[in-house]
Amino acid sequence: MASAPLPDLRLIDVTRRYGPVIAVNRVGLDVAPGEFVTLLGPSGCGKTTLLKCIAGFLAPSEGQVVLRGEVVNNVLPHLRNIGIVFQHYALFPHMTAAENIAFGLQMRKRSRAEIAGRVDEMLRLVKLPGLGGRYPHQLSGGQQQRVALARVLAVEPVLLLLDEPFGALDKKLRVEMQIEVKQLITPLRMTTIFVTHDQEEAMRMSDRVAVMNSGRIVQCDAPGAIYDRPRDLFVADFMGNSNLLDAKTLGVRGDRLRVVVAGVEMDLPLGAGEIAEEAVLLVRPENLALTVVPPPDRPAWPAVVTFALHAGPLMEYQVVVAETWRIRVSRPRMLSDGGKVWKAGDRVAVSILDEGAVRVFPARSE
Amino acid sequence: MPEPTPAAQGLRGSATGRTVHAARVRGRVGHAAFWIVIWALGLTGLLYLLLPTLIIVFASLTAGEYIAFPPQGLSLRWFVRLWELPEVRVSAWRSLLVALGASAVSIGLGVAAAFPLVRSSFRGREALNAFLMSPLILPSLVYGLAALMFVSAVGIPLSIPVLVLSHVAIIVPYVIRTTAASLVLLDPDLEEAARSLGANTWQTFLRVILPNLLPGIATGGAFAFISSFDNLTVSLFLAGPRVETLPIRLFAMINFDLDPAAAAISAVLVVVAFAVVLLAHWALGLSRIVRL
Repeated sequence: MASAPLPDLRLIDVTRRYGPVIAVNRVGLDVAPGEFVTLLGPSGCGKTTLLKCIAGFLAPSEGQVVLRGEVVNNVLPHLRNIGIVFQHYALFPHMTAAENIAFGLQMRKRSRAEIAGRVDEMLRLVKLPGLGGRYPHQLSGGQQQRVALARVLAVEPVLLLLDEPFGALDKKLRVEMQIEVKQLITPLRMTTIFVTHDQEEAMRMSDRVAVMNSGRIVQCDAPGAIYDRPRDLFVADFMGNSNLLDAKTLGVRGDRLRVVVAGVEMDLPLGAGEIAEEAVLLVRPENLALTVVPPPDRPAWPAVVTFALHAGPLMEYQVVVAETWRIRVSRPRMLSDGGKVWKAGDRVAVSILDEGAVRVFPARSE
Repeated sequence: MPEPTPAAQGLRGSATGRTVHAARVRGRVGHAAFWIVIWALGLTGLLYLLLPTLIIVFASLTAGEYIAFPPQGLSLRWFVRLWELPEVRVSAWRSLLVALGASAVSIGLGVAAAFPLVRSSFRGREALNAFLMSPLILPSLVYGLAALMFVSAVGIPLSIPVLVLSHVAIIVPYVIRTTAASLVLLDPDLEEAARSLGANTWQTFLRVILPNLLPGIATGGAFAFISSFDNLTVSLFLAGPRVETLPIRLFAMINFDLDPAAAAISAVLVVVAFAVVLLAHWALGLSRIVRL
């Protein structure tokens, strides 16, 4: 694209050191206006440090943080116009919801009338009309979350940072709030950076997910692409449940790779990436089928079901092949074929449903 | 017929049932004994602390000519007499003034000191913390003497401001301690939230941090006020003949003529101390209604 719009946020080789420890290591990222990008990674991967560098609470040791074309490395946080929603909301406990929402506008020296109007508008936007007089402790977790969001949106920030905002909510409410926040932000075309360690949350919310590990962005892609085509074993393992099985490469025949996995030889479509003799096969639990007899057209592992768990819409199984290899399988319970439910001790044939969604990585060198 | 459960078998009096029963009774007795011991120790301690104070307050209400317990008849005549003694009145007002001034200065300094002690990390923070707390550990008699030598070496005449500043040194740790405790409990994200919303450092402190520290500051201020108002040891050195405080007056009265007026002054000191604590408690209660 010749006339690509100027990114709202551009990170150029941002590095942050704490003494000898490198918390953030040469991170580069462009976030387009209106885009929702998630920084996803395990705790200690540097995502929170990176967030603080963007917000201005930490100065990068090297590299540049560019907001709408301007390098802001030396701009104090209160002059950056970046809104943050914190994990525990950080609502001012001595102020009512309305006073919390008004705070940013007061700091911007808006007129009383304008502030009052904007506060009402925000309370309606987050579906809390009439609760402006409540103190944070008089509001539920979900309501506090909404006030925190209203407080940030009221000042129309250049960039919205969400720092694990759903971490303190119970699972059901978390999913509701995810949908609600997404519905709230999308029409506003608010450029958003979302930090989380929850891969499901990341996939559900984002236009793009940047998976971080030990200070680096390992892969940054659309959720589907990250899930289906992880770049390496770390991403594969971190994104969702997966079976990682040791494989031995026997050779390449045309566009097919011949491997032996858990004692069974199979041909897989040759994917991108290097081919190593010692390899690891990634197959998602939902990409495996259990049958009584092996399917005629596909290779299958003979296995024994060791346990079967109800997970609501799914049945989760662990099967063991040749008393050595453990494989996780998850099957929807409602299927056109009746969705047979297996129990521990059943003898089954395990086969791959979609060979195209199987990845082969070189084995970890460690 | 379903098999009886082990617990039900126990109730029918088998050998194991009796053992289980005995263990449960022992558990109950132990539990009761624990609470009896706790209450007994607590009440004894409370009585031990309060009894002498109650006795002196009660003795000040005597109608007789001498300090005695139990008092001979009840009257407020010694309080009236106190009020008629000009030197008592003057020293009482002076003590109040000194305590108010010293508390105000220590709140200013203490809150400022608590902030870097909690929020910043720098080399020697623990050492600085210990140093600022040292007046609590240091014998105040030693401090009084040291302060007197310092003041006379520098050549400042003894005066009320000198007395106030010397009190500040010994009461500021209370304010630092309680403010720091409040600050530790305050979510650091509040500061980042305020700053990201456009508040500069000053606005963040005044609009967001300070209001949330008020309970801690009020508690520390109350302790500071009482410590200054009651202080004898430091005042003895730094008050000088012309700036006598109430505790010094009391000390002199006890030394020279032990009449019930001394008991009455003691009663006044006790009442002021309780009033300040209750006031702080009330203020805290109010702020808690707003906070929690």
